[in-house]
Amino acid sequence: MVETAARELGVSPAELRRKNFIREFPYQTPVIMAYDAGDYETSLEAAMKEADYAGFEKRREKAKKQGKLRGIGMSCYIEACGIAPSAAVGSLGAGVGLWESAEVRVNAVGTIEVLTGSHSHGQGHETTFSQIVADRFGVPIDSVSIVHGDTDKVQMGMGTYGSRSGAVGMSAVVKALDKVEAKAKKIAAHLMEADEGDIVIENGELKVAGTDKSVPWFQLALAAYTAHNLPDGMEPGLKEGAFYDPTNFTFPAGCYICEVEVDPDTGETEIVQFVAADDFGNIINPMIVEGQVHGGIAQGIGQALLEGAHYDPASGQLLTASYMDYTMPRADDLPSFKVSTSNTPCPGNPLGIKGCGEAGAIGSPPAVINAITNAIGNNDLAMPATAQKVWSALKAATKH
Amino acid sequence: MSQVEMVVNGRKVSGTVEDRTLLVHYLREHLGMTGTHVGCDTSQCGACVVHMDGKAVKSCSILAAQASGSDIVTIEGLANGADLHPVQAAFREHHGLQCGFCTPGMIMAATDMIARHPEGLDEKTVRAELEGNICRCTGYHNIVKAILAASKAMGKAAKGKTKKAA
Repeated sequence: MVETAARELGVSPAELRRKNFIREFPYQTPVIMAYDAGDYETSLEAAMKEADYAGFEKRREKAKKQGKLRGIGMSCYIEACGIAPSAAVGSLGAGVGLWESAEVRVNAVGTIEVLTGSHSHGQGHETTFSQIVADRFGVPIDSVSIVHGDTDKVQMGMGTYGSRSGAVGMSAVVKALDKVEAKAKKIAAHLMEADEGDIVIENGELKVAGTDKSVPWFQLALAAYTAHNLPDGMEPGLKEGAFYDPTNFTFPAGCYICEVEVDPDTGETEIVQFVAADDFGNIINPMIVEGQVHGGIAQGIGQALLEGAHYDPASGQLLTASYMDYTMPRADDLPSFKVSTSNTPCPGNPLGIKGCGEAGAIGSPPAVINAITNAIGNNDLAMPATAQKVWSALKAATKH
Repeated sequence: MSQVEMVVNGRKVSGTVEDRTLLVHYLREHLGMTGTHVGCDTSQCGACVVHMDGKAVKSCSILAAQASGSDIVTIEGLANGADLHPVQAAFREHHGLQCGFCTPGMIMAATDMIARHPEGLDEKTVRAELEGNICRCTGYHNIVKAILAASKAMGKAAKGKTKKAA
Protein backbone atom coordinates (compact mmCIF):
# COMPACT_ATOMS: atom_id res chain seq x y z
CA MET A 1 0.00 0.00 0.00
CA VAL A 2 2.82 2.40 0.89
CA GLU A 3 4.67 1.41 -2.27
CA THR A 4 1.57 1.98 -4.40
CA ALA A 5 1.01 5.36 -2.74
CA ALA A 6 4.60 6.34 -3.42
CA ARG A 7 4.27 5.33 -7.08
CA GLU A 8 1.03 7.28 -7.47
CA LEU A 9 2.46 10.34 -5.71
CA GLY A 10 5.63 10.12 -7.76
CA VAL A 11 7.90 10.14 -4.72
CA SER A 12 10.56 7.63 -3.77
CA PRO A 13 9.18 4.73 -1.70
CA ALA A 14 12.03 5.22 0.76
CA GLU A 15 11.24 8.90 1.17
CA LEU A 16 7.54 8.33 1.78
CA ARG A 17 8.38 5.82 4.49
CA ARG A 18 11.00 8.08 6.00
CA LYS A 19 8.46 10.92 6.23
CA ASN A 20 6.07 8.74 8.17
CA PHE A 21 8.42 7.03 10.62
CA ILE A 22 7.59 7.30 14.31
CA ARG A 23 10.51 8.94 16.07
CA GLU A 24 9.26 9.57 19.59
CA PHE A 25 8.76 6.83 22.14
CA PRO A 26 6.70 5.60 23.85
CA TYR A 27 4.15 5.92 21.07
CA GLN A 28 0.59 4.90 21.87
CA THR A 29 -1.19 3.45 18.82
CA PRO A 30 -5.00 3.52 18.67
CA VAL A 31 -5.08 -0.30 18.93
CA ILE A 32 -3.71 -1.27 22.38
CA MET A 33 -0.04 -1.37 21.35
CA ALA A 34 2.35 1.19 22.81
CA TYR A 35 5.61 1.14 20.85
CA ASP A 36 8.47 1.38 23.33
CA ALA A 37 11.67 1.76 21.33
CA GLY A 38 12.93 1.67 17.76
CA ASP A 39 15.02 3.39 15.14
CA TYR A 40 13.35 2.67 11.83
CA GLU A 41 15.45 5.05 9.80
CA THR A 42 18.70 3.29 10.72
CA SER A 43 17.31 -0.03 9.45
CA LEU A 44 16.08 1.63 6.26
CA GLU A 45 19.46 3.19 5.61
CA ALA A 46 21.34 -0.02 6.39
CA ALA A 47 19.15 -1.98 3.98
CA MET A 48 19.43 0.63 1.21
CA LYS A 49 23.19 0.70 1.55
CA GLU A 50 23.55 -3.08 1.56
CA ALA A 51 21.21 -3.38 -1.43
CA ASP A 52 23.02 -0.59 -3.33
CA TYR A 53 19.61 1.00 -3.81
CA ALA A 54 21.19 3.97 -5.56
CA GLY A 55 22.75 1.75 -8.20
CA PHE A 56 19.50 0.02 -9.10
CA GLU A 57 18.69 1.93 -12.29
CA LYS A 58 22.01 0.87 -13.80
CA ARG A 59 21.24 -2.76 -12.97
CA ARG A 60 17.76 -2.34 -14.46
CA GLU A 61 19.25 -1.05 -17.71
CA LYS A 62 21.72 -3.91 -17.84
CA ALA A 63 18.96 -6.48 -17.28
CA LYS A 64 16.85 -4.84 -19.98
CA LYS A 65 19.62 -5.39 -22.49
CA GLN A 66 19.49 -9.07 -21.58
CA GLY A 67 15.74 -9.17 -22.10
CA LYS A 68 14.82 -9.22 -18.41
CA LEU A 69 12.58 -6.90 -16.41
CA ARG A 70 14.33 -5.97 -13.22
CA GLY A 71 12.42 -4.58 -10.26
CA ILE A 72 13.17 -3.46 -6.72
CA GLY A 73 10.79 -3.41 -3.78
CA MET A 74 11.06 -2.61 -0.12
CA SER A 75 9.01 -3.09 2.99
CA CYS A 76 9.35 -1.62 6.44
CA TYR A 77 7.62 -3.70 9.04
CA ILE A 78 6.94 -3.45 12.74
CA GLU A 79 5.45 -6.34 14.66
CA ALA A 80 4.20 -7.05 18.15
CA CYS A 81 6.13 -9.88 19.77
CA GLY A 82 6.98 -11.26 23.17
CA ILE A 83 3.40 -12.16 23.78
CA ALA A 84 2.13 -11.02 26.12
CA PRO A 85 0.95 -9.07 29.18
CA SER A 86 -1.72 -11.37 30.61
CA ALA A 87 -4.08 -8.51 31.46
CA ALA A 88 -3.79 -7.13 27.91
CA VAL A 89 -4.60 -10.44 26.24
CA GLY A 90 -7.38 -10.96 28.79
CA SER A 91 -8.94 -7.67 27.68
CA LEU A 92 -8.79 -8.96 24.10
CA GLY A 93 -10.69 -12.10 25.08
CA ALA A 94 -7.90 -14.65 25.61
CA GLY A 95 -8.80 -17.45 28.01
CA VAL A 96 -5.25 -17.78 29.36
CA GLY A 97 -2.46 -15.65 30.73
CA LEU A 98 0.67 -15.40 28.61
CA TRP A 99 3.42 -15.38 31.24
CA GLU A 100 6.27 -17.89 31.22
CA SER A 101 7.78 -19.95 34.01
CA ALA A 102 11.30 -21.09 34.83
CA GLU A 103 13.14 -22.95 37.53
CA VAL A 104 16.88 -22.86 38.10
CA ARG A 105 18.25 -25.84 40.01
CA VAL A 106 21.85 -25.65 41.08
CA ASN A 107 23.01 -29.17 41.87
CA ALA A 108 25.30 -29.93 44.80
CA VAL A 109 28.27 -30.27 42.42
CA GLY A 110 27.58 -26.86 40.87
CA THR A 111 26.06 -28.02 37.58
CA ILE A 112 22.90 -26.14 36.75
CA GLU A 113 19.61 -27.43 35.40
CA VAL A 114 17.17 -24.90 33.96
CA LEU A 115 13.55 -25.90 33.55
CA THR A 116 11.65 -23.74 31.10
CA GLY A 117 8.06 -23.74 29.92
CA SER A 118 9.29 -22.47 26.59
CA HIS A 119 9.80 -25.47 24.32
CA SER A 120 12.67 -25.72 21.86
CA HIS A 121 12.00 -27.36 18.51
CA GLY A 122 14.92 -25.95 16.59
CA GLN A 123 15.12 -22.43 18.00
CA GLY A 124 18.27 -23.26 19.94
CA HIS A 125 17.11 -22.66 23.51
CA GLU A 126 19.66 -25.25 24.64
CA THR A 127 22.35 -22.86 23.46
CA THR A 128 20.96 -19.40 24.20
CA PHE A 129 19.38 -20.20 27.57
CA SER A 130 22.62 -21.91 28.62
CA GLN A 131 24.59 -18.85 27.50
CA ILE A 132 22.79 -16.49 29.87
CA VAL A 133 23.23 -18.89 32.77
CA ALA A 134 26.91 -19.57 32.05
CA ASP A 135 27.56 -15.83 31.64
CA ARG A 136 25.86 -14.99 34.91
CA PHE A 137 27.81 -17.42 37.09
CA GLY A 138 30.97 -17.79 35.01
CA VAL A 139 30.56 -21.54 34.78
CA PRO A 140 31.36 -23.65 31.67
CA ILE A 141 28.41 -23.79 29.27
CA ASP A 142 28.62 -27.60 29.34
CA SER A 143 27.67 -27.59 33.01
CA VAL A 144 24.28 -26.05 32.19
CA SER A 145 21.45 -28.21 30.92
CA ILE A 146 18.10 -26.97 29.66
CA VAL A 147 15.01 -29.07 30.34
CA HIS A 148 11.94 -28.38 28.22
CA GLY A 149 8.95 -30.25 26.92
CA ASP A 150 9.02 -32.78 29.77
CA THR A 151 5.77 -32.35 31.68
CA ASP A 152 7.01 -34.72 34.38
CA LYS A 153 9.61 -32.09 35.23
CA VAL A 154 8.40 -28.71 34.00
CA GLN A 155 5.32 -27.77 35.95
CA MET A 156 3.92 -24.93 33.89
CA GLY A 157 4.58 -23.24 30.59
CA MET A 158 2.91 -21.39 27.78
CA GLY A 159 5.22 -22.38 24.96
CA THR A 160 7.22 -21.14 22.01
CA TYR A 161 5.49 -18.87 19.50
CA GLY A 162 5.10 -15.16 18.84
CA SER A 163 8.83 -14.63 19.33
CA ARG A 164 8.28 -14.98 23.06
CA SER A 165 11.00 -17.43 24.12
CA GLY A 166 13.66 -14.77 24.50
CA ALA A 167 11.57 -11.85 25.65
CA VAL A 168 9.29 -13.81 28.00
CA GLY A 169 10.84 -17.26 28.57
CA MET A 170 14.36 -15.97 29.18
CA SER A 171 13.04 -13.18 31.35
CA ALA A 172 11.53 -15.83 33.62
CA VAL A 173 14.94 -17.54 33.70
CA VAL A 174 16.58 -14.21 34.57
CA LYS A 175 14.12 -13.68 37.44
CA ALA A 176 14.95 -17.13 38.82
CA LEU A 177 18.69 -16.47 38.31
CA ASP A 178 18.32 -13.22 40.29
CA LYS A 179 16.92 -15.19 43.20
CA VAL A 180 19.63 -17.86 42.97
CA GLU A 181 22.32 -15.21 42.79
CA ALA A 182 20.91 -13.35 45.82
CA LYS A 183 20.88 -16.54 47.91
CA ALA A 184 24.32 -17.61 46.71
CA LYS A 185 25.73 -14.21 47.68
CA LYS A 186 24.17 -14.48 51.15
CA ILE A 187 25.80 -17.88 51.66
CA ALA A 188 29.15 -16.65 50.30
CA ALA A 189 29.08 -13.59 52.56
CA HIS A 190 28.37 -15.82 55.54
CA LEU A 191 31.17 -18.28 54.66
CA MET A 192 33.75 -15.53 54.11
CA GLU A 193 32.51 -13.31 56.95
CA ALA A 194 31.95 -10.43 54.58
CA ASP A 195 29.18 -8.05 53.73
CA GLU A 196 26.67 -9.44 51.24
CA GLY A 197 26.94 -6.24 49.19
CA ASP A 198 30.68 -6.83 48.67
CA ILE A 199 30.27 -10.21 46.99
CA VAL A 200 30.91 -10.32 43.25
CA ILE A 201 30.70 -13.30 40.92
CA GLU A 202 33.59 -13.61 38.48
CA ASN A 203 35.04 -16.50 36.50
CA GLY A 204 33.12 -19.13 38.39
CA GLU A 205 34.01 -17.78 41.81
CA LEU A 206 32.24 -15.73 44.45
CA LYS A 207 34.70 -13.11 45.63
CA VAL A 208 34.84 -10.46 48.28
CA ALA A 209 35.48 -7.35 46.19
CA GLY A 210 38.89 -5.80 46.77
CA THR A 211 40.28 -8.82 48.66
CA ASP A 212 41.77 -12.19 47.70
CA LYS A 213 38.98 -14.06 49.47
CA SER A 214 36.90 -16.31 47.22
CA VAL A 215 34.75 -19.42 47.12
CA PRO A 216 34.51 -21.45 43.89
CA TRP A 217 30.98 -21.82 42.53
CA PHE A 218 30.90 -25.61 42.96
CA GLN A 219 32.01 -25.30 46.60
CA LEU A 220 29.30 -22.75 47.26
CA ALA A 221 26.73 -25.11 45.74
CA LEU A 222 27.96 -27.94 47.94
CA ALA A 223 27.78 -25.69 51.01
CA ALA A 224 24.14 -24.88 50.18
CA TYR A 225 23.31 -28.59 50.28
CA THR A 226 25.49 -29.83 53.14
CA ALA A 227 23.96 -26.96 55.12
CA HIS A 228 26.63 -27.29 57.81
CA ASN A 229 27.24 -23.57 57.89
CA LEU A 230 24.40 -21.46 56.53
CA PRO A 231 23.18 -18.08 57.74
CA ASP A 232 20.70 -18.33 60.62
CA GLY A 233 17.27 -19.43 59.50
CA MET A 234 18.22 -20.01 55.85
CA GLU A 235 16.67 -23.00 54.09
CA PRO A 236 19.20 -25.46 52.63
CA GLY A 237 19.50 -25.90 48.87
CA LEU A 238 19.96 -23.65 45.86
CA LYS A 239 16.94 -23.85 43.63
CA GLU A 240 14.55 -21.07 42.69
CA GLY A 241 11.54 -20.68 40.46
CA ALA A 242 9.92 -17.66 38.87
CA PHE A 243 7.01 -16.60 36.74
CA TYR A 244 7.42 -13.64 34.42
CA ASP A 245 4.47 -11.72 33.08
CA PRO A 246 5.60 -9.11 30.56
CA THR A 247 4.58 -5.49 31.06
CA ASN A 248 4.32 -4.80 27.35
CA PHE A 249 4.62 -6.47 23.97
CA THR A 250 7.99 -6.04 22.23
CA PHE A 251 8.30 -4.36 18.84
CA PRO A 252 10.91 -5.74 16.46
CA ALA A 253 11.10 -3.77 13.24
CA GLY A 254 13.15 -3.64 10.09
CA CYS A 255 13.52 -2.89 6.44
CA TYR A 256 13.67 -5.54 3.71
CA ILE A 257 14.67 -4.94 0.11
CA CYS A 258 14.13 -7.45 -2.67
CA GLU A 259 15.36 -7.29 -6.22
CA VAL A 260 13.94 -9.53 -8.92
CA GLU A 261 14.30 -10.27 -12.58
CA VAL A 262 11.18 -11.27 -14.48
CA ASP A 263 11.35 -13.10 -17.77
CA PRO A 264 8.71 -11.28 -19.87
CA ASP A 265 8.19 -14.31 -22.11
CA THR A 266 7.35 -16.74 -19.30
CA GLY A 267 6.50 -14.59 -16.26
CA GLU A 268 9.10 -16.49 -14.29
CA THR A 269 10.56 -14.50 -11.39
CA GLU A 270 14.09 -14.90 -10.12
CA ILE A 271 15.07 -13.31 -6.84
CA VAL A 272 18.48 -11.85 -7.57
CA GLN A 273 19.08 -10.07 -4.28
CA PHE A 274 17.48 -10.10 -0.86
CA VAL A 275 18.51 -7.78 1.96
CA ALA A 276 17.15 -7.76 5.50
CA ALA A 277 18.06 -5.14 8.10
CA ASP A 278 16.38 -5.74 11.43
CA ASP A 279 16.15 -4.29 14.92
CA PHE A 280 15.71 -7.17 17.36
CA GLY A 281 16.80 -5.47 20.57
CA ASN A 282 19.71 -7.10 22.37
CA ILE A 283 20.93 -10.33 20.80
CA ILE A 284 22.18 -13.33 22.78
CA ASN A 285 23.44 -15.41 19.86
CA PRO A 286 23.85 -13.76 16.43
CA MET A 287 24.19 -17.05 14.53
CA ILE A 288 20.89 -18.37 15.85
CA VAL A 289 19.18 -15.04 15.19
CA GLU A 290 20.45 -15.04 11.59
CA GLY A 291 19.22 -18.60 11.17
CA GLN A 292 15.76 -17.56 12.33
CA VAL A 293 15.73 -14.70 9.82
CA HIS A 294 16.92 -16.92 6.95
CA GLY A 295 14.10 -19.39 7.58
CA GLY A 296 11.54 -16.61 7.86
CA ILE A 297 12.62 -14.99 4.62
CA ALA A 298 12.41 -18.33 2.80
CA GLN A 299 8.92 -18.89 4.15
CA GLY A 300 7.89 -15.37 3.13
CA ILE A 301 9.31 -15.78 -0.35
CA GLY A 302 7.48 -19.09 -0.59
CA GLN A 303 4.24 -17.34 0.35
CA ALA A 304 4.90 -14.56 -2.16
CA LEU A 305 5.87 -16.74 -5.11
CA LEU A 306 4.96 -20.36 -4.69
CA GLU A 307 2.73 -21.52 -1.89
CA GLY A 308 -0.98 -21.63 -2.57
CA ALA A 309 -3.70 -23.78 -0.99
CA HIS A 310 -6.38 -24.85 -3.46
CA TYR A 311 -9.70 -26.49 -2.73
CA ASP A 312 -11.99 -28.18 -5.19
CA PRO A 313 -14.97 -25.78 -5.26
CA ALA A 314 -17.50 -28.57 -5.80
CA SER A 315 -16.43 -30.97 -3.04
CA GLY A 316 -14.31 -28.84 -0.69
CA GLN A 317 -11.51 -31.36 -1.10
CA LEU A 318 -8.03 -29.90 -0.50
CA LEU A 319 -6.19 -30.31 -3.79
CA THR A 320 -2.78 -29.20 -2.52
CA ALA A 321 -2.52 -31.83 0.19
CA SER A 322 1.00 -33.10 -0.45
CA TYR A 323 4.33 -31.72 -1.57
CA MET A 324 3.49 -33.08 -5.02
CA ASP A 325 0.95 -30.25 -5.37
CA TYR A 326 1.89 -27.66 -2.74
CA THR A 327 5.07 -25.86 -3.68
CA MET A 328 7.49 -25.51 -0.83
CA PRO A 329 10.45 -23.32 -1.75
CA ARG A 330 13.50 -25.36 -2.78
CA ALA A 331 17.12 -24.28 -2.50
CA ASP A 332 17.18 -23.28 -6.16
CA ASP A 333 14.17 -20.96 -5.73
CA LEU A 334 16.17 -18.79 -3.35
CA PRO A 335 19.34 -16.73 -3.27
CA SER A 336 21.68 -16.40 -0.30
CA PHE A 337 20.39 -13.62 1.92
CA LYS A 338 22.18 -10.53 3.18
CA VAL A 339 21.06 -10.05 6.75
CA SER A 340 22.17 -7.56 9.37
CA THR A 341 20.87 -5.95 12.53
CA SER A 342 21.11 -2.54 14.15
CA ASN A 343 19.51 -2.83 17.51
CA THR A 344 17.77 -0.63 20.04
CA PRO A 345 17.38 -2.49 23.34
CA CYS A 346 13.84 -3.22 24.45
CA PRO A 347 13.17 -1.31 27.68
CA GLY A 348 10.38 -3.68 28.71
CA ASN A 349 12.33 -6.79 29.79
CA PRO A 350 15.52 -7.43 31.75
CA LEU A 351 17.61 -8.61 28.78
CA GLY A 352 16.39 -5.94 26.36
CA ILE A 353 15.27 -8.59 23.84
CA LYS A 354 12.61 -7.96 21.18
CA GLY A 355 12.46 -11.29 19.31
CA CYS A 356 13.25 -12.47 15.78
CA GLY A 357 11.10 -15.51 14.99
CA GLU A 358 8.57 -14.12 12.54
CA ALA A 359 10.45 -11.09 11.24
CA GLY A 360 11.69 -12.74 8.05
CA ALA A 361 8.26 -14.06 7.14
CA ILE A 362 6.62 -10.66 7.79
CA GLY A 363 9.01 -8.41 5.93
CA SER A 364 9.63 -10.55 2.86
CA PRO A 365 6.26 -11.06 1.09
CA PRO A 366 5.58 -7.31 0.57
CA ALA A 367 9.19 -6.70 -0.48
CA VAL A 368 8.98 -9.49 -3.09
CA ILE A 369 5.61 -8.39 -4.46
CA ASN A 370 6.71 -4.74 -4.54
CA ALA A 371 9.77 -5.80 -6.52
CA ILE A 372 7.73 -7.75 -9.06
CA THR A 373 5.09 -5.02 -9.48
CA ASN A 374 7.94 -2.55 -9.92
CA ALA A 375 9.42 -4.76 -12.63
CA ILE A 376 6.21 -5.33 -14.59
CA GLY A 377 4.54 -1.94 -14.05
CA ASN A 378 1.30 -3.35 -12.69
CA ASN A 379 0.39 -3.05 -8.99
CA ASP A 380 -2.46 -5.55 -9.27
CA LEU A 381 -0.83 -8.87 -8.39
CA ALA A 382 -2.07 -11.43 -5.88
CA MET A 383 0.07 -13.95 -3.99
CA PRO A 384 1.37 -16.42 -4.77
CA ALA A 385 2.80 -14.63 -7.77
CA THR A 386 3.23 -17.72 -9.93
CA ALA A 387 4.75 -17.39 -13.38
CA GLN A 388 1.30 -17.52 -14.91
CA LYS A 389 -0.05 -14.70 -12.72
CA VAL A 390 3.01 -12.53 -13.32
CA TRP A 391 2.81 -13.13 -17.07
CA SER A 392 -0.91 -12.24 -17.10
CA ALA A 393 -0.34 -9.09 -15.02
CA LEU A 394 2.47 -8.08 -17.35
CA LYS A 395 0.27 -8.59 -20.42
CA ALA A 396 -2.52 -6.56 -18.78
CA ALA A 397 -0.06 -3.75 -18.04
CA THR A 398 1.35 -3.62 -21.56
CA LYS A 399 -2.17 -3.49 -23.13
CA HIS A 400 -2.86 -0.06 -21.62
CA MET B 1 6.74 -62.22 1.94
CA SER B 2 10.27 -61.49 0.76
CA GLN B 3 13.56 -62.62 2.12
CA VAL B 4 16.01 -59.69 2.15
CA GLU B 5 19.67 -59.44 3.02
CA MET B 6 21.93 -56.44 2.71
CA VAL B 7 24.87 -54.73 4.31
CA VAL B 8 23.86 -51.68 6.37
CA ASN B 9 26.69 -49.47 7.61
CA GLY B 10 29.12 -52.36 7.26
CA ARG B 11 26.92 -54.85 9.12
CA LYS B 12 25.26 -57.84 7.41
CA VAL B 13 21.52 -57.94 8.08
CA SER B 14 18.74 -60.18 6.85
CA GLY B 15 15.07 -60.72 7.49
CA THR B 16 11.66 -61.56 6.12
CA VAL B 17 9.50 -58.62 5.17
CA GLU B 18 6.17 -58.01 3.52
CA ASP B 19 6.69 -57.52 -0.21
CA ARG B 20 5.42 -53.93 -0.01
CA THR B 21 7.91 -52.92 2.71
CA LEU B 22 9.82 -49.83 1.74
CA LEU B 23 13.53 -49.64 2.41
CA VAL B 24 12.99 -46.76 4.83
CA HIS B 25 10.49 -48.81 6.86
CA TYR B 26 12.85 -51.77 6.85
CA LEU B 27 15.61 -49.54 8.23
CA ARG B 28 13.45 -47.80 10.81
CA GLU B 29 11.01 -50.45 11.94
CA HIS B 30 12.83 -53.74 11.38
CA LEU B 31 16.39 -52.62 12.14
CA GLY B 32 15.44 -49.85 14.60
CA MET B 33 17.65 -47.35 12.77
CA THR B 34 15.55 -44.24 13.09
CA GLY B 35 18.17 -41.76 11.90
CA THR B 36 16.66 -41.93 8.42
CA HIS B 37 13.44 -39.92 8.46
CA VAL B 38 10.13 -40.18 6.65
CA GLY B 39 8.96 -36.71 5.75
CA CYS B 40 6.44 -36.78 2.93
CA ASP B 41 6.04 -40.35 1.67
CA THR B 42 5.77 -38.95 -1.86
CA SER B 43 9.49 -38.71 -2.70
CA GLN B 44 9.52 -34.90 -2.60
CA CYS B 45 11.20 -33.95 0.68
CA GLY B 46 14.37 -36.03 0.75
CA ALA B 47 14.43 -36.62 4.53
CA CYS B 48 14.84 -40.34 3.76
CA VAL B 49 17.96 -40.15 1.57
CA VAL B 50 20.46 -42.99 2.11
CA HIS B 51 23.30 -44.31 -0.02
CA MET B 52 22.68 -47.52 -1.92
CA ASP B 53 25.79 -48.97 -3.53
CA GLY B 54 27.38 -45.53 -3.32
CA LYS B 55 24.47 -43.59 -4.82
CA ALA B 56 22.04 -41.30 -3.00
CA VAL B 57 18.52 -42.71 -3.16
CA LYS B 58 15.21 -41.82 -1.52
CA SER B 59 14.59 -44.82 0.67
CA CYS B 60 10.83 -44.11 0.70
CA SER B 61 10.74 -44.86 -3.01
CA ILE B 62 12.55 -48.18 -3.03
CA LEU B 63 11.28 -51.51 -1.78
CA ALA B 64 13.39 -53.33 0.77
CA ALA B 65 13.24 -56.28 -1.65
CA GLN B 66 14.77 -54.13 -4.40
CA ALA B 67 17.57 -53.15 -2.05
CA SER B 68 18.33 -56.77 -1.19
CA GLY B 69 21.92 -57.61 -1.96
CA SER B 70 23.09 -54.02 -1.88
CA ASP B 71 25.36 -52.01 0.37
CA ILE B 72 23.47 -49.33 2.31
CA VAL B 73 24.92 -46.41 4.23
CA THR B 74 22.63 -44.35 6.47
CA ILE B 75 23.28 -41.24 8.52
CA GLU B 76 24.24 -43.51 11.44
CA GLY B 77 27.11 -44.89 9.36
CA LEU B 78 28.80 -41.62 8.46
CA ALA B 79 30.67 -40.65 11.62
CA ASN B 80 33.84 -42.44 12.60
CA GLY B 81 33.05 -43.18 16.23
CA ALA B 82 32.92 -39.82 18.00
CA ASP B 83 34.52 -38.05 15.02
CA LEU B 84 31.88 -36.45 12.85
CA HIS B 85 32.05 -36.85 9.08
CA PRO B 86 33.31 -33.57 7.50
CA VAL B 87 29.82 -32.83 6.17
CA GLN B 88 28.28 -33.37 9.61
CA ALA B 89 30.97 -31.18 11.15
CA ALA B 90 30.30 -28.45 8.59
CA PHE B 91 26.55 -28.50 9.28
CA ARG B 92 27.33 -28.11 12.97
CA GLU B 93 29.90 -25.35 12.43
CA HIS B 94 27.71 -23.32 10.06
CA HIS B 95 24.38 -23.78 11.90
CA GLY B 96 23.07 -25.78 8.96
CA LEU B 97 20.21 -27.25 10.94
CA GLN B 98 17.52 -26.02 13.27
CA CYS B 99 14.77 -28.56 14.01
CA GLY B 100 16.93 -31.26 12.43
CA PHE B 101 14.19 -33.18 10.67
CA CYS B 102 15.58 -32.74 7.16
CA THR B 103 19.20 -33.02 8.30
CA PRO B 104 19.87 -36.76 7.79
CA GLY B 105 18.63 -36.52 4.21
CA MET B 106 20.44 -33.24 3.60
CA ILE B 107 23.73 -34.68 4.81
CA MET B 108 23.39 -37.90 2.84
CA ALA B 109 22.47 -35.92 -0.31
CA ALA B 110 25.38 -33.53 0.33
CA THR B 111 28.01 -36.27 0.77
CA ASP B 112 26.85 -37.83 -2.49
CA MET B 113 26.94 -34.43 -4.22
CA ILE B 114 30.47 -33.72 -3.00
CA ALA B 115 31.63 -37.16 -4.13
CA ARG B 116 30.20 -36.58 -7.61
CA HIS B 117 31.98 -33.23 -7.90
CA PRO B 118 35.62 -33.83 -6.97
CA GLU B 119 36.47 -30.68 -8.96
CA GLY B 120 34.62 -28.63 -6.30
CA LEU B 121 31.20 -27.04 -6.02
CA ASP B 122 29.73 -23.59 -6.52
CA GLU B 123 26.58 -22.15 -4.95
CA LYS B 124 24.48 -22.51 -8.09
CA THR B 125 25.31 -26.21 -8.44
CA VAL B 126 24.64 -26.90 -4.76
CA ARG B 127 21.27 -25.18 -4.91
CA ALA B 128 20.28 -26.96 -8.12
CA GLU B 129 21.31 -30.38 -6.84
CA LEU B 130 19.59 -29.84 -3.50
CA GLU B 131 16.28 -29.54 -5.31
CA GLY B 132 15.11 -32.88 -3.95
CA ASN B 133 15.54 -31.96 -0.30
CA ILE B 134 13.13 -29.64 1.50
CA CYS B 135 13.93 -27.59 4.60
CA ARG B 136 11.46 -25.26 6.29
CA CYS B 137 13.74 -23.88 9.02
CA THR B 138 16.97 -22.60 7.52
CA GLY B 139 15.94 -21.07 4.21
CA TYR B 140 18.80 -23.29 2.91
CA HIS B 141 21.24 -20.40 3.45
CA ASN B 142 23.42 -22.13 6.03
CA ILE B 143 22.93 -25.57 4.48
CA VAL B 144 24.41 -24.30 1.22
CA LYS B 145 27.19 -22.61 3.18
CA ALA B 146 27.93 -25.85 5.07
CA ILE B 147 28.02 -27.97 1.91
CA LEU B 148 30.38 -25.53 0.17
CA ALA B 149 32.64 -25.49 3.23
CA ALA B 150 32.63 -29.30 3.50
CA SER B 151 33.37 -29.65 -0.21
CA LYS B 152 36.34 -27.32 0.17
CA ALA B 153 37.62 -29.09 3.31
CA MET B 154 37.26 -32.54 1.75
CA GLY B 155 38.94 -31.36 -1.45
CA LYS B 156 41.91 -30.09 0.55
CA ALA B 157 42.10 -33.31 2.56
CA ALA B 158 42.04 -35.38 -0.64
CA LYS B 159 44.80 -33.24 -2.19
CA GLY B 160 46.86 -33.64 0.95
CA LYS B 161 46.54 -37.41 0.70
CA THR B 162 47.55 -37.44 -2.97
CA LYS B 163 50.61 -35.36 -2.16
CA LYS B 164 51.59 -37.72 0.64
CA ALA B 165 51.15 -40.72 -1.66
CA ALA B 166 53.29 -39.06 -4.30
